Amino acid sequence: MDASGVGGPRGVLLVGAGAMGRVHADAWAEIDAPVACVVDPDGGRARALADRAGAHACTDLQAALARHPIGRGRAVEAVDVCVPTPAHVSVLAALPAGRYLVVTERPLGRDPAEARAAASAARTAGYDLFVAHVVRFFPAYRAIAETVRERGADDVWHARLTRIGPAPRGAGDWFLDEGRSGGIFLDLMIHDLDFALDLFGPPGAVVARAGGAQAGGAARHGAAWLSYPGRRVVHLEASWMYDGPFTTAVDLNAAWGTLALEPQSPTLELPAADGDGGGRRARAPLARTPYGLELEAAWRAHAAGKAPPVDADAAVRAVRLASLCRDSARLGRTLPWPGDAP
Amino acid sequence: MTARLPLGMLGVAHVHAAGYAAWLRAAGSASLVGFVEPDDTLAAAFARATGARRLADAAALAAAGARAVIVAGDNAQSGPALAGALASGLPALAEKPLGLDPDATAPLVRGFAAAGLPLATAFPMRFAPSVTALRDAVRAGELGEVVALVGENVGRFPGLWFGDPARSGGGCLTDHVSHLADLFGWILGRAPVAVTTVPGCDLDNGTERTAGLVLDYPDGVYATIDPSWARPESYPTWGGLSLSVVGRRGTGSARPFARRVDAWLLPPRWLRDVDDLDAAMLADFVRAVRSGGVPRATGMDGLAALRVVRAAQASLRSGRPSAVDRTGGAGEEA
Repeated sequence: MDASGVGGPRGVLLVGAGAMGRVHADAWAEIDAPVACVVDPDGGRARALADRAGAHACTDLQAALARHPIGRGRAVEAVDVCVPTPAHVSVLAALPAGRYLVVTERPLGRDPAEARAAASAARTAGYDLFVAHVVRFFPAYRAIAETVRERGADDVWHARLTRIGPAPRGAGDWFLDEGRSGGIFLDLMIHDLDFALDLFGPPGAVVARAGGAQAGGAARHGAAWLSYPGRRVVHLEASWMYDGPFTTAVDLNAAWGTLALEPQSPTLELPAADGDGGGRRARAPLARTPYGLELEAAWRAHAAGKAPPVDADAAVRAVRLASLCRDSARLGRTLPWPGDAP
Repeated sequence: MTARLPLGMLGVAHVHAAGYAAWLRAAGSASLVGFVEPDDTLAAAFARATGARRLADAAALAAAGARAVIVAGDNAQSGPALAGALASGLPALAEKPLGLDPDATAPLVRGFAAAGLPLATAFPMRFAPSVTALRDAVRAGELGEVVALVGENVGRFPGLWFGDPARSGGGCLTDHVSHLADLFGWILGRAPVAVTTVPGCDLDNGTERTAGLVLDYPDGVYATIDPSWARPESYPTWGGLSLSVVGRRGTGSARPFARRVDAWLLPPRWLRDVDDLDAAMLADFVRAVRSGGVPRATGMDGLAALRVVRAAQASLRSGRPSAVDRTGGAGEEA
C-alpha cells in the first residue's frame, strides 16, 4: 500500500479518555486519522482530551453514535475502545451493526467467558474487531517473530520473556484490582503470553506462581512456565514490583541461534525537570510508535477487506492462557491446556 | 611464608578440572602432588598438560603427601571418590552434585563431619561479589519481605559425559539446578518444600536438554529456576547465571557475568570481565583445611542442593510436584 490516503480512517470515535485513550489519540494523530469524538462519562476528562485532539466531547456513547453515524465509507469508520477491561463487553455490545473497524485494548475480557462474550458481540454486529496486543508491533518483537518464522519455530527449544516495572498509575489504580483488570497475568503477562502463542501456538501445560499482594489487593508479581513437551519451555516473568524504569526482555534460543533483546526500557530517560521532585521524564525513541503502527496495520487490513492482524480468536486464546496461568498460581498445580474446545 | 598446601585431584573428567589444576600450579598457597583418573586416555592427556603424577587412589595420594583432595570426576564417580577421601582422612572440595543419590551421599557428609574433616562443595557463585551483596541486602531487610526469586543458569550443552545419564545422573537438571538451588537456600536460609518441573525438549538420547522448575518455600515464597542447556553452538560464550530477588520493598538482581567485551572476531565471542570465582573458592578451601575451619559452601549445602535436584528429576518423571527431603537443612549457617 502506498501513502496515498490509506494511512487511516477519515474519522475515529474514541471511547475512554483515560491513560490508554490519550495514548491512542496520539497514535491516531501519528497516522493522520482525526479523532472526531471523545466519549467518557467523566465530562471534564472527555473535554480535555477532545480539546487536545481537536474533537467533539461527549459523555454518552449512544449520543455520540447518534451524532457521528459510523459505518463503512462514512466519515467515522473506526471506533477505538479504550475503557477499563470490565467495560469491554458492554461497550462492544452497544456498537451498531456494520462493516467498520473496532479497536479494543487487551485483555479482551477478565476471563474466557467475558472474552468470548466480547468476541461474540463483534461477530453479531459484523464489524472487524482488532484487539490491541501492541507488543507484536514493537519493531524488535516483530523482527524476532519474523526471524523465528523464517528460521523455523519448531527448532526453538527455549525462550524467556520478561516484563517488569513499577505499578501503573491508572484512574483509581484499577490495574491492581484483580476483579477489574484481571491482575498480573491478564493485564501484564498477557502481552508475552500472546507473543508466545503467536510464535508457538498453545502449550501442553502451564505452571505459574504469583505473589506480592498488598492488603486486600491482587498479586503484583507473577512467574510462569509454558511447557511444550518434546519441543521447548518458555519462561515468563511479569512484575509491578520493580522500582526501575519499565523494562522488557526477550531471550530466545534455538538450534539455529539465539535472539536476545537485552533488558531495556523502550523509553528515553531524561533527568527530572527542575523542581520536579525526582520524577523521570520519558520519551519514546522511535519516530513511529508501536501504537501508531498497530492502528495503521489494523486499518490497512480493514480497508483491504482482510482479517484484523490480531483478531478476536487470538485475543480469546490469550485470555484463556492468561486465565490458565492465574488458575495454576491459585491452585499451586501444573495445569494442562484444555484444547481448543470453546 | 607458609609452605604450599599439597593437594591431590580425585578424578579429572569434569570441565573445571583443568582450571583447578592451573590454579594449583599458579597459586602460592597450594600445589598439586598427583591425580587419580580411571580413564587412561584422559589421564595421559592430563599428565601431559599438568606434569602431575597419576596415582592409583586416594590412599596413594595421601601417601604421596596430599593433605586434601579436589573431587572433579564425573557425577557417578563423586560418591566413591568422597568415600575414598574420607577413608584416607583427606578433606575434600567436591564438584556438585555430590553424587547421584542423596541417600548415599548423606552418610558420607556425616562421616566427614564426624571425622572433623572439612568438606566443601564447589559452588563458586557464592564468591561472586554481586551475589554476596544481594544476599547481604536481603539479610539486612533492604528488599523487605521476600516474595519470589527468579534464576537462570542457561548454557550450552557441555558435551563430554554430561549427556550420558550413567555418568551424569541426568541432563540439564543435574548440571544446572544445583547452583541456583544452593544460592536460593543460602539467601533465604531455608530449603524448598516442593519442586515442580515441566518438560521442554531432550537430547537425541532422551536426556533432558531444557526444562523449567518452580520451587515452593515455606510461607508462600516461590522461585523459578531455568537450568536449560539452551544456548546454541553459535552463542558467543558457554552461558551464564543470573538471579533476582523480588521483595516487598524492591527487586534486587545479580548478574555476575553481565560485564563483557563484545569481540567481533570470527567466530564472535564475549570476553568476560569477571572475577576468578574458582580461585576465590579454592583459596577459601585451602584456608579451611589449614585452619580446620568451615568452607563457605559445605558438604551439607551440597547435599541440600542434591536433594532439590532429585526432587526436580522425580517431578519431571511424575508430572507432579515433588516433596523435598529437608533433613540436614539447606542454607544452614556455617
